Amino acid sequence: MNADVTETQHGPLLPVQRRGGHEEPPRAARLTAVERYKEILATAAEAHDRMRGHDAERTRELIGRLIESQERMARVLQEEKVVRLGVELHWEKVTEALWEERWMRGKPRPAPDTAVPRRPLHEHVSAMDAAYQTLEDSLQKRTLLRRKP
Amino acid sequence: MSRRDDRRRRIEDSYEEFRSAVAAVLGAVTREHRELAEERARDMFEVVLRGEGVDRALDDPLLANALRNPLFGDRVLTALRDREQAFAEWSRSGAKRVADLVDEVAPGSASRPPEEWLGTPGTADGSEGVPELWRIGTGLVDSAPTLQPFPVAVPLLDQAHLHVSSTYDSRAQAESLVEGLLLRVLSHFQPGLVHVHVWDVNQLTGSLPGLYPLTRAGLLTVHDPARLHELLDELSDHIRRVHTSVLVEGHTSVRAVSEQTRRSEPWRVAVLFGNRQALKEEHQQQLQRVARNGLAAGVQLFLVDLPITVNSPVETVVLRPDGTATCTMTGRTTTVRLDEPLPRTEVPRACAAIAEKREERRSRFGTFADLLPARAHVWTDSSAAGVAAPVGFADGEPVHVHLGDTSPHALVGGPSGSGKTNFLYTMLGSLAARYSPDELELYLLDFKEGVSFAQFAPGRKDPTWLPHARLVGVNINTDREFGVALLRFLSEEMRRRADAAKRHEVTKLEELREEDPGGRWPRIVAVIDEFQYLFGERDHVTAQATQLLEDVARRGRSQGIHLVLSSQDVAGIEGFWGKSAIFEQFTLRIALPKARRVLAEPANDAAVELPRWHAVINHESGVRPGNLIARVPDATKRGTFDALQRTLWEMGPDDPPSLFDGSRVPGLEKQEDFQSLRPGDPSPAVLLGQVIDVAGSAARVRLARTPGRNVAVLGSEAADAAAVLGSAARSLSRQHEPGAARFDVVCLADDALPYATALRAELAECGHTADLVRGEGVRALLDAEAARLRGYGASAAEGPPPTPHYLVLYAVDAAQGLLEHKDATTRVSGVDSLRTVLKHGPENRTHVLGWWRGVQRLKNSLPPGVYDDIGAWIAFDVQGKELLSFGPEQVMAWSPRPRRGLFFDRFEHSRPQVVIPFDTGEDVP
Repeated sequence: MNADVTETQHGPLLPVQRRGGHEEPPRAARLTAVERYKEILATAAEAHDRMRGHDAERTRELIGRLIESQERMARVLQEEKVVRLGVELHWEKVTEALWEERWMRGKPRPAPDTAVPRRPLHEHVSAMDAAYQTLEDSLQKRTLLRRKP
Repeated sequence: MSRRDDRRRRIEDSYEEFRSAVAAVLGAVTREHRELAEERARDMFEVVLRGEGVDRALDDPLLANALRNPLFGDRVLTALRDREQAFAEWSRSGAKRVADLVDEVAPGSASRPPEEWLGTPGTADGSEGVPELWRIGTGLVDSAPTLQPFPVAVPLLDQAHLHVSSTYDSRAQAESLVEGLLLRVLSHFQPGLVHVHVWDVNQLTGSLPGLYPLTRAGLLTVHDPARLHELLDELSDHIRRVHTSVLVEGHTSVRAVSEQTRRSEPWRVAVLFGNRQALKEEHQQQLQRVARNGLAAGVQLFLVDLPITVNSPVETVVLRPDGTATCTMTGRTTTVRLDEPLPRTEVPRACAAIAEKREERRSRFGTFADLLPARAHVWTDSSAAGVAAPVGFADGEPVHVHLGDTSPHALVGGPSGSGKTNFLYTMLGSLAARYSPDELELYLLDFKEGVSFAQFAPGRKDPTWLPHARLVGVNINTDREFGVALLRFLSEEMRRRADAAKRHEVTKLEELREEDPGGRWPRIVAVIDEFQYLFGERDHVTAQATQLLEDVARRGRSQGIHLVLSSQDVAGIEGFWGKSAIFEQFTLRIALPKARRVLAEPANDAAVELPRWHAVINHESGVRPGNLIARVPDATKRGTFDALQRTLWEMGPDDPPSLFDGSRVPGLEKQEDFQSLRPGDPSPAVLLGQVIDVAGSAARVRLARTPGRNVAVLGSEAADAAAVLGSAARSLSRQHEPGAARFDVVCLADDALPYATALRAELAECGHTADLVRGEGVRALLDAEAARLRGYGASAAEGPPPTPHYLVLYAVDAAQGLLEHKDATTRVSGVDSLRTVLKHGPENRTHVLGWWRGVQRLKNSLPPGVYDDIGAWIAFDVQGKELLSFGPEQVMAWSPRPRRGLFFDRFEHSRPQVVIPFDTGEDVP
């Protein structure tokens, strides 16, 4: 009888009954106190890990947003610059034009009105242009301000 | 309105309009910018918040302002909500579940606050379970939304070692932790169940000073820092002893053995304080071995700042310089705050109280009643794996003896007066109380004079018996045959069990009991007191006894047959010591004070100095490490063993033991074999005496119708001869219908006359023809009978069978002179007639039962050199060698013994037997 049984990939050649061993005893249903204690504490550890994990995920998400919003910010800044420049030009011209109207009391530049209804910027710019044109037209008595057609 | 005014108004209006538009456009860009910036700020804040974790962030001073900023409020709330969600289960019930668990498994001092238990010695003995966890402090899960403290506790004793790691600053805390745990453990159990050892690499005294009062009760041992090996050796020895004596029969740990019962083996807690450096290599290795094997033996380690790798369960507490700690029970997420150290002054007081209690218990001697189980536990133990029972006390704790596969047989030694009998009573009582008669049978032989074992059989004064006793032999003295008979009986029982085991395909009694739960397979313990008498002579009996003893000693263990041999003088048994095969089997050695050769001398001389009432119990064949010295209680005084026996007798079946009492004369009337005699057998049997065997059967001779069936009694005492002749004749009387047999009772000696007369009268009363013949009448009788028999010779085959005719001849040799006379006419002497009767009688149903008062006298009655007409004889006070003509060479060993005869039946026996003549019930002076 060959006592030197080698295990093949399908398991040992001898069936369990002849191997001289015993079956695996069923897993104890009852845990020891130590095991129960550690099991409960494990829920706290799991919660902690869950929290940190969620934080990490959220952080990744936020960083993605920040990258994207960085680009948006660059655009916004650029737009602002252009708008302010345009405003400046208009304002200078208006101030100059009103200088002749000695009866007029000039007013300071208006503060930005951040409560305006939300509209695409170009609408506000157009409105400003239109208002500028209207003002120009109203000053049209003299030919000082002659708009080119 | 003038045109100028009109124009001015238009200009003003349009200027306002323009100004609004400018404000609007500026507002729009500003707003967009700001909003985006805010969004980004929030996101950036949340990255920081989440990166640290909201729990840590809340405490971070750098973030304090940001956290208060309402802009970030939402994000903070979300993070907090996320945390709550993650911890939902823990917050809901985690801390409570931990607290409930600790309450459940750590009752009493294991987890309650010190004010509830410190100072009061404990009472638990392990029978109600051992706390699985012991409190060390409070834990908090720092990152949890609500701070819910819960108790932190560690396993100790049978379950795991404890490793404490501290820093220079937190060392004092480590000591407080250890002290606190030790006090919890010490205060939980009965004093004496926990022993503490302390070793500190740096100092001899000074570690755990509060525990010092325990030293006086032997509960604390402080070890010299330079002598770590002593501590390790002590622990290793203890572990080894536990493994060989307690962890037998397949138990793997003391906890398993003591499950549900009183803890049998105290715990030993060894506290070792190190200095974060590894020990010397050999100490390290030994310590690792102790760590590996200790828990199963109840040895547990507290290692403080001592690096070690163990593959036994161990929990670690790491103390941080800031006073907090982490623990492997709670993991990395919990910060443990150890409990406050116990109040400085109360610790020594509590230890003193424990020490006192312990002293009290130690000095309590322990009575016989203390050894016995509670009423509810009488007869509840199973002997499947062996038998064990306490026989005494050491330090107030019971000391057990075990008989089983690993310690099959016991040798008990001690000179007379040393308490041997008392010890045997204690042991037998303790066993008999725990195991029922179906679990344990006792066979008890007492060779010396006296009444040691008579207690176990019913007697005149005390009708009770020990239900487990199946056979009790007392006053055996010279009846060594009885010892042989018992050994033979055990040997046969062993065979019977071995056969049964084979049938069930098992090898041991334990397995047989499993395979055959319906069968009755008790363990048998045979106790032979003063067994050396069995081997006293150099004769056939000794040879037989030795051989049987070897057989039973070697093979009895697996069949559940155990021998307990006790002796005053073990040294004197040559046959015993020479046979190491026997000797080796007696692994349990019990030495009473001054016993010699029972323990492995000269190294083990514990018996020499032993005080009275003590015994050395050693399960390891007498080597010193196996010694346990127990104080044996008094089991012989009134109210001890006798009271126990009465209680057990009342519980047991109505089946008394067979009693062999060498000093008693067996009565013929009561003999079973006699009572079962009935008429009808063509070859009636005569009962001559009682054989010395376990069954107490009768020695019998069949009086068949063949030559030689005559019985001779040889001896000078009338009483002896009369007993044999009387028994024989009465046996015959029972086996014939009235009138169907004829008896001639011949009496030729005056001292036999009363017996002869009584016999004749009794035979007549039974309806048989019975004549008493005296003096000269014997000649006529013999001549007549001889003539009749000669006449038969020819016609023996025809006609009806002759009437049985029995000649009972008392002192027939007295008539020798008379019989030698030759008849004038026939030239035939009386002796010739006698010889004819002896020769031809039996085949014609005439049998002679004769008493000759000497061997030579018998020879004179027989033809020279031709003795085979006497088929069976019993010899009393004759010398063995005189009998050589009548029997095999074994007769040589015979010499006169009071009330004993040597019996030999040529037709049945290969060697003679010793028999005890019956008391035939005659009232003669």
